[in-house]
Amino acid sequence: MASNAIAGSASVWVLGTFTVYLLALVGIGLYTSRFMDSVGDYVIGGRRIGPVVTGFSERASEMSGWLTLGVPADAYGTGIMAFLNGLGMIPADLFSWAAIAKRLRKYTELVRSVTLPTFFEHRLGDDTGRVKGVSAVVLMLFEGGYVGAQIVAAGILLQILTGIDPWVGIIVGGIIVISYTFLGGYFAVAWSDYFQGAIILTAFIALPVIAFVNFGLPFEELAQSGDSLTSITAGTTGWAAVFGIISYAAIGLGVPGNPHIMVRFMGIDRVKNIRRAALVAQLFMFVAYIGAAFVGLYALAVFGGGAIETPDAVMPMLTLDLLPDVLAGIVLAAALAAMMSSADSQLLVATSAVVEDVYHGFFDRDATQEELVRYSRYATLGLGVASVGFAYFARGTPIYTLVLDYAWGGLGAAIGPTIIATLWWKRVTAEGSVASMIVGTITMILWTQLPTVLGAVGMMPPESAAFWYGLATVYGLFPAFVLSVLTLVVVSLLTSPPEGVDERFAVFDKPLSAVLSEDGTPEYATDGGAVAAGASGPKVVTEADNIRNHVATAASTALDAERPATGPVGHHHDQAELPVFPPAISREAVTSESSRVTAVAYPYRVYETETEVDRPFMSAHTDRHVVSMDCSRRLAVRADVFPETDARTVSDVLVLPTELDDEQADEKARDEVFEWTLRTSVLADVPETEIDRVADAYKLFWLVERPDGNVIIDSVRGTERPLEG
Amino acid sequence: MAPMSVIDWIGLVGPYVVFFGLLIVYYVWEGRRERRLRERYTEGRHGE
Repeated sequence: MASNAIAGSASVWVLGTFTVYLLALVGIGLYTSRFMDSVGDYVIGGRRIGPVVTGFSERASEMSGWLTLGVPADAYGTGIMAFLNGLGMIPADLFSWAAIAKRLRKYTELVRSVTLPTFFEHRLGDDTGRVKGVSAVVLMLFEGGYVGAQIVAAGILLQILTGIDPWVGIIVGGIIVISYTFLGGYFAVAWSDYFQGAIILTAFIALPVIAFVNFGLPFEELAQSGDSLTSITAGTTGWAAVFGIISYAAIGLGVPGNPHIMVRFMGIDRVKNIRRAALVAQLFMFVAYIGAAFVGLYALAVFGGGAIETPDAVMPMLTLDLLPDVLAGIVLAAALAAMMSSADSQLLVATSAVVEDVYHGFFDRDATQEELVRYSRYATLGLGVASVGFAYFARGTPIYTLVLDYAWGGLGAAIGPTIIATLWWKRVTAEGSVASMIVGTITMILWTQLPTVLGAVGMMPPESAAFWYGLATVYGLFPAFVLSVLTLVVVSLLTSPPEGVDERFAVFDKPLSAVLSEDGTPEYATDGGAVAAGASGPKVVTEADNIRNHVATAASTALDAERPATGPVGHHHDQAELPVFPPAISREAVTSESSRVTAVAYPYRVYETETEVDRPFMSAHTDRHVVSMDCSRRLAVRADVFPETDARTVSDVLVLPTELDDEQADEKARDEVFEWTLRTSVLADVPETEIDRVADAYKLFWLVERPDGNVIIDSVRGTERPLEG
Repeated sequence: MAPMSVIDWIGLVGPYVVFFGLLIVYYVWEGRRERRLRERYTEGRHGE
């Protein structure tokens, strides 16, 4: 039997393939990043990620740290009860695919959000910045916890491979994580994550199979090591067993609140793929949870109980023991790469939460771009160093607990109830959401420390008082989630919900294809939009709302009333020559004997830009963006294609006024590109954006008067809204 | 003596069997629901 002697004595072949694999990854990343139009596209993949990669990456994000090292370690210490790690996670994940994925995808498309804080802000109609600010603080805290856990995991891997002290592993792991983030991160990361996930998943199949061929089922050996190891309740009975099972099941409550999962939902390309992606993700979970538990159990059978000082090391040790050296090197390198990749994106999410959502969105709305770039660098470095500090002090805590208590659980309790409520409950309010986030966060942090605090003051219930002892030691996410939900409901019922929610909820009853741009329908046509931080314009007014206001004003005045515009803008015309986005729904198609159709021309200005992105220690690269400016609502939204325009003669048309002159629109487009770039990279300098192409054009809406109610039809997207709102 | 009781085996295998059943139900049900929704929406548009 092997023993601890393996630690630090990995063969030259293991270290060789480990190093070569990681260098190859960095090389491929550096090479491909020169050709990528926008590394930031990964955040939601430009909403073009297919079902297999989506399903895999939704799950692979957990492969780092917790599932790779934590669950096998849990199985090594607990026995077969570790199979219950899937008890809450698998159904909660299925629930999320069934009840959250499509709604979140549709709604974020509608309001053009790519991050959870901005989605909450728009959905809850919060102009005060409180929802965005509080959710950003929550993200900063617990994503920081995640980074710390990844650093500990990286340190353990390095310790196993090279025999260095754990604290050296943590410092080196921390330096690697921070450097990786500064060097650009996100290197072709969707595919990279996919490959790392696939390699580790294969290892979780191969290791138990090889062990089974050599040793048979491990249960006999487990029984010899202790009766509790072959008990599904780990030898506990009564309340202790009940709370043990509740603790495992409660892990699933974290699924809806964890941004790395929700962001995958936002990035799905089309409707039929959601079902397939769910299938891939679920099958992945079955294999991963069963495989990870078996890895821990076989480690028990192979090395013996208590033989391994650091249980987090059981997965790498079994890999070194059972796999050929070259393959072991690749598997462990893939595990480290997965940890780096996760830590990198978590560090960037935390940075953007601090700088963009809290500092820029809340404290200093007039911050200059130079300041934001500088503070982002400081924040990345500061949060990275804080995470290393956290990792150092928490190095004695198992990764399993570290992730569940200081990252997963906090996000689940604080964000999860709000996510579910914003998509299912029209009555939820910004105040309810903020209160729920605060209560969830505080409860999670306090409950984790409860046994320590109660012990210190001599009030910790004895184990013989099974119920109270079980309650005090139950996984904190359970009470934190319950209290967070109660707070959300009570405070929401005591306050007023935002207006106009009914109309947006109507979108949930349509197929996704009716909301999304399908083939041939350009993205610029999307309804809704996001306001840049710092802007004082309307946040949740849709194109339809805007048209209603103008139509009402036009009807109540003489149509030729005072308008701030020149030329045809802002007037009703019997006939006008206008540049337009070619309609997919023609006027004739919506005209019938019983209906009268009037046109509304809605002003847009679309840019194609080229941005020189300068990152620390890297050669500069160029990003291309298409920015679609809604000149009536003064909103910049990101588009995927530069649209075609067409000069047409439009009769009986109300031309809406533009609220931005060219100079203001140009500046706003540049600001928007800056913000997108800042969210996805650590920058050495303020990026310079050149405008390559500009198209001024109108989107046509058809106002159809029907006996059963007048409607507004978007001629490009084909969507329909009631005119009376 | 067998290392694991029947209860332990049920606790070990049972949830995964149930979850697998749920996944199949979801996959079939969601496919039908989506098709129905799509058909209804398409019919609605043609009917305008």
